[in-house]
Amino acid sequence: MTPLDELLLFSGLTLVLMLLLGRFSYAGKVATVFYGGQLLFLVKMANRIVDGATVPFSLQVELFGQQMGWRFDALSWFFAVITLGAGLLSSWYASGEWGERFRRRGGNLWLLHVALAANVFSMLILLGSGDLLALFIGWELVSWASFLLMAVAGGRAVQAAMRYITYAMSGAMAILAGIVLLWSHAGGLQYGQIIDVIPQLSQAQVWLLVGLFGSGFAVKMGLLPFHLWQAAAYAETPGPGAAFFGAISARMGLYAIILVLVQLIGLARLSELTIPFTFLDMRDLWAWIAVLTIILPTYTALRQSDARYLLAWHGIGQGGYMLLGLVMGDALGSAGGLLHVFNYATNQAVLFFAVFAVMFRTGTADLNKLGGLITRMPISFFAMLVGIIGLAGLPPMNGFVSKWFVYRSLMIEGEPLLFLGAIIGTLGTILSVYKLIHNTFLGQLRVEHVDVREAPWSMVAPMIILMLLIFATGVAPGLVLDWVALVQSAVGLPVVANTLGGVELASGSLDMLWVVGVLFAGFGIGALLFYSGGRTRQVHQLDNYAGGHFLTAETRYHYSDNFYAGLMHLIRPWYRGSFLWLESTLGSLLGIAASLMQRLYGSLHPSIYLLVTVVVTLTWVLL
Amino acid sequence: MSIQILLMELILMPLVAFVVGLFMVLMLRRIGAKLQRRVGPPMMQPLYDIVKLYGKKTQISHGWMHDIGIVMAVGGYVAAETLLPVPGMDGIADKGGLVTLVYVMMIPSLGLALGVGQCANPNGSIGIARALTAMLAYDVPFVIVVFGVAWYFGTTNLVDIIAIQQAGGVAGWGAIAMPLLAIAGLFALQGHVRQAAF
Repeated sequence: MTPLDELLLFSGLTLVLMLLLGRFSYAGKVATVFYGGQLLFLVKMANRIVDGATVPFSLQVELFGQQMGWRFDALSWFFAVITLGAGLLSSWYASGEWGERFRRRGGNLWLLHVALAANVFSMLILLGSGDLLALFIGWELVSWASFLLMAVAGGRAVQAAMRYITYAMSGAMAILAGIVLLWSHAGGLQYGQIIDVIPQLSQAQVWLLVGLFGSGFAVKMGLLPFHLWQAAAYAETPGPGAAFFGAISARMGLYAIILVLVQLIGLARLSELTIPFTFLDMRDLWAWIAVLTIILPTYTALRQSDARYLLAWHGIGQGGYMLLGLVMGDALGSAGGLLHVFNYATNQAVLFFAVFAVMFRTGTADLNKLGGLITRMPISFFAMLVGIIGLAGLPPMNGFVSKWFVYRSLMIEGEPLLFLGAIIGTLGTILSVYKLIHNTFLGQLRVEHVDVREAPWSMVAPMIILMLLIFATGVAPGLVLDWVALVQSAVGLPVVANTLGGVELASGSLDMLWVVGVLFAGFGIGALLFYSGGRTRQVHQLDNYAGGHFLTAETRYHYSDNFYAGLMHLIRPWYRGSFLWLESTLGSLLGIAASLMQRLYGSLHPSIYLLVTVVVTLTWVLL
Repeated sequence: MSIQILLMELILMPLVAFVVGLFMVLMLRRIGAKLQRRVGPPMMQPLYDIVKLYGKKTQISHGWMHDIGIVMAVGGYVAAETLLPVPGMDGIADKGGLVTLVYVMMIPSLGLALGVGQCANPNGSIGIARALTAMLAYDVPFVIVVFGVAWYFGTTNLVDIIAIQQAGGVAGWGAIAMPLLAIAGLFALQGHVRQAAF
């Protein structure tokens, strides 16, 4: 048995166990242990991955005369580590009081555990796909598993999930069309055959191919203009599910983009595809899609008043950085893009955990109904603080390093407009995440929240682990960059020459060990200066005044609604909802076409159609 | 460079910046006073202000984030100083570079914002909302300048950027070669230090 056999069998076993035991109260703990086991199998695989070898799967299936197989290379392994890490921590989060409460409130905990296990299993199958047929089957499995987890909560969640599955099916059809196109030219769907046949295809054919595959994968990744489904679908999923989705689910799209666009077609070929009547080529187009995906969803997030939606919208935006780094195609940019997959997963998971911890204690994620919880839930506050520093991309957290790589790549390659777009996105993120932490944890404590306590340990522990991870990989990004370098060499990108603290380049290096070192030395000096002043008097949290008036706890003075009123006054006309308009137009057109067909079909007798079809077919056969 | 010299530089650089900063605050107030036909403060006034602040009897703390916010503000600036070369001392400027410096300078703003947030004063929150909006306004031109500088000199290493300018003489100065960018940078920095022009 190869390590991949063991991993996939064990993952399947986890799913079966959840199907059988999911309704018992200890199911979450069992699942957590089993995800840990899967991670161990992944670690067991590591030495082969480091050697640059692929780990094969023993089972080979023949379908329609096509060999279908699975294997793990460095790219699969990197994404699998994040998937299993997210699965482990999410099920840990659900294993204690959160799960109990969820069940008591009428939630289907069995379905949640089963759906999570199915998601992990199907993602591992997708990541292991060794040819395009296996990729397509894995892709469908992931889509339906995601749908299952999204729909767990019922109500609005089901609506969001239906919207997702509509998008996902349309995307899958595009991918299928792309696969058929390749099959008709290559005569097979093995990666090797496709790499051989791509140079023989005409520019128009590659254009079509990139369009079909690209739009199909972009749906999952939530790239503009296919992003509308994502925020609601992720935000309405119950706690651990939302964290899991936020951390990794959409990145399956990125995995497929890397596989098909970078590994099979190649970025160099994309540069050859010029866009008529412009000075752009296909690669520029992808870069611009990435930048627009950064900017527009980030500023949509800024307008949200529900913490879950705010985070989900940021999730879409952060995907843009990954794609942007990747299509730059140089060692630095692609390393930044790949590193951001890991860094963002840790940030988003801890942020969702913190938001759902607040929701667990107060019953709401509405940013206008919270405030002042820092004294009641200090660990959750700290978790959110670490998460937002990471998400906004400030030192000393890991999000800074991956964004630094992307910025530097854009600077070296001389892309001022893309760079500006990326920075505008980052600034929007800073504004938005400050609103998140301010409205939740800072400011006035509501009277009804005076007795709120810190979230239970089963929920706090995963947050602490993630915080340590975010900080450690911020100080020593080399830990993850070693894996990233393996991925780069596996998919044929230039490999980054990293150090433990970052990267050393003639045109400007980064050494986070030193940067974080002086930062904390600075904090030490600041603390020395501040606390040597002494004699500060602590006042009660509710002891406050404004404009010379004492404010009682009953007066609601927390400044939360329309937080950036001045900014919104300026940029509100820019929010036109064009994509929503486009979506509803498409929906209406489809509706009209469907009702026309219905009228046509209903007004005539179906047997006439049958007769016509038979006559036409007979004529065709006879002639 | 030996570790002793480096450590000494890391201690001296923030001190140099502190003295220069005090002097600049003094100049700012003196020039402002001259424009308004006042005498202006004496030489040591910025130092007196610090002593006076430490002598205050009632200092209120609204909780630990309120305190740490101030510590973060000071710490962020101290760290930023070691990333910015001063004459004769490079510190760890080659370990971070221009982009890192820009981002380390955002940490004090974040610290202050968090500290003010815990005060629970609605006016404070409004102030932060406005300050962050202003940041959006002045950081966009600022990063354009940063990009221009890095692109022109082909590096983000501040030590190299300075060396290239010194090697080229006065004509090699960035401000001479890229006057518009320099003016834009000055405008953006005016926003960064949160001072009205006069």
